[in-house]
Amino acid sequence: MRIRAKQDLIAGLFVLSLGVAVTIYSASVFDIGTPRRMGPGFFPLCLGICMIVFGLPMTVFGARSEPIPMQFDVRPFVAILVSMAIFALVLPQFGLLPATVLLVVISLLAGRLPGRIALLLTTVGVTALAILVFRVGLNTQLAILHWPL
Amino acid sequence: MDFLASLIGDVRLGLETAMTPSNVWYCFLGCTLGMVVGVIPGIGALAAIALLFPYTFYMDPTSALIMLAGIYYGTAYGGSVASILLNLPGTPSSAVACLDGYPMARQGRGGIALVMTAVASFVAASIAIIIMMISSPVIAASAIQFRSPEFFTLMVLGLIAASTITDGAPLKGLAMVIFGILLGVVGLDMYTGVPRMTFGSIHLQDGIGIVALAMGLFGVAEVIASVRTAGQGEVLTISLRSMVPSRDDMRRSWRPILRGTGIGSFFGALPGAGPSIASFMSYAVEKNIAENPSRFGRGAIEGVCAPEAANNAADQTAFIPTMTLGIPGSATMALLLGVMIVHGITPGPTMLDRHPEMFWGLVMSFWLGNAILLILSIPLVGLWVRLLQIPYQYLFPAITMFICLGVYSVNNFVFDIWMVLSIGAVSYALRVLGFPIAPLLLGFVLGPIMEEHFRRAMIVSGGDAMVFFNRPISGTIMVLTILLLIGVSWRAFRRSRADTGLQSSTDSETAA
Repeated sequence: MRIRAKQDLIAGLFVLSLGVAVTIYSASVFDIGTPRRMGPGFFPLCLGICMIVFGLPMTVFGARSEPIPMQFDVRPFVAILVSMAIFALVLPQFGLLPATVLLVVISLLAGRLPGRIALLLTTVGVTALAILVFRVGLNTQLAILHWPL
Repeated sequence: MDFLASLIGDVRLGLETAMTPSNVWYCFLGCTLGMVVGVIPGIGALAAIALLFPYTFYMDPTSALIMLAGIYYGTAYGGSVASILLNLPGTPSSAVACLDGYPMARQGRGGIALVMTAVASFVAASIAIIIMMISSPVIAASAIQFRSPEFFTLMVLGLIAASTITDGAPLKGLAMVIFGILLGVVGLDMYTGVPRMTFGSIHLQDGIGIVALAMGLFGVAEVIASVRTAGQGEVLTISLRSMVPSRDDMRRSWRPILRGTGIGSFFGALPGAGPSIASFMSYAVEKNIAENPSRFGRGAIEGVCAPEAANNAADQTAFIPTMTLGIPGSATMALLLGVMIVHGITPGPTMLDRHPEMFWGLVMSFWLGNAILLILSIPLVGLWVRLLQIPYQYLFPAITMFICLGVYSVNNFVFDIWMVLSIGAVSYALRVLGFPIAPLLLGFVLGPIMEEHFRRAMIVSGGDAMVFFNRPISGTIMVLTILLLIGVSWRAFRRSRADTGLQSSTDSETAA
């Protein structure tokens, strides 16, 4: 997906708002201390102020810039992140095998879908690799297959 | 003579460390993996090192470092194979090799380009290693009197240089450094034990793991970004018969190789410059001094040798500031620094004294690794060509699996997978917005060390910030930093006035 937007303006607003949030958070939650005896909030407060200092000119210059096309690959973005999320959910409940199979199949949706045989081979190959490396090779404490009920 | 005698002793110690069977094996493993990763476009050295990082927890730190460093300089050899045969740089620093390497391959001289590249890389790396062996003890010795103010200002200078010099958008680079330092703050405060930025999570009390961060930044985000672009281009085939360079090729090449080595060694040691700049710079130099510049871009062998020599020399000299001062100049160096910190070793001037076997073992393993790579890259070229033909769509599920299980295997916490996932999502969004990602990792690794030096310096000075300006060395560094900032903002200001529209498009290119 291509979006036309003022990239630098969004970037500037992001830095600025993060800076403001960090500054307020550090100043209100932590003890700042004095320069001689700094509290835990002193250094984060400096960082927040730095971000505001950098974010302000970014926002000002960004607002005056022309909108430019930005490439955001929605499909791979969603597919890869969802495959990882499913993996994280399934792994502790059902074990390594089903989690890896789901991860491979969902992540494959990120690109052009391979044919049925290629799909099967990739799934079997990656799953076998996962079990070999992590269960057999590194002896990670993981059940290959687990039924919680 | 004293210097020479101690150098010989150090070399012997290094050889003893590097030549143990297990270290030879890890060096071989690292170089081979680096070569593979370099050949395949869409996974860089950073992603590969991040992926293998968790497995080095079980290893001896010297072996771990030897292997991960092997991956790093191995990718430089592999990257040029993809550049020459596919016109698609496997690594950013070998992008220049496309300019004349691909035309050479189209003329049927791809084999010669590959051989000359390997030779140039080997010669350049060898010279750079010698420079490192001679200069490191000298730098470390002169830095031994550095105290907290010097280290703090040196880190400030390094971070600002690394985030502003190469990139078109200095403010974005600086913002990423601060963001990285901020992520480094997460966890218990070392002086008071107060949890900071953990938002009540017990998992975050130990801080964000460098494995999770590096994998999210360079693994997940890179996979997402590469799915669309990878696997384009047609692979040119070559035969072994066409691999012998002619006498004319040799005659044309040796001077560019030496010039490239010089340029690369210099820029590699500077923070922020690194192999990519060095290779572009040496290409420009060769084109400028050539008798017939019009040959460049049409398969001039000088245009392949010089930049490849430069980026390999830079890869080696990049270790000098990392090892002797503890100041990494690039994200990859920051990651290697992180490896040492995880293993309980603090790089810096004292490292050469305290862990000489580690430093010299690593340096000596560079020789071995470069020799291995020379052997790997020439006779096995057919294998690398075949690797280039693997469609990326079969690779990224495997990479995603290694990311998830790799980060899980560190602590056996599912939380870490969620961490990588979130960092990957944020990092991809930052790329879309044209932020450079490497400064973030630099800030993250150096942040906690910087805060410690900052607080210690302020305690010693009784809260007087002038301590950073009063001392001669840190004062000089501060002046340099201010000059650098003025220069960078002047350049950015002039550019934004010259072309408001064009500037943003170059930003997104450098971020990619």
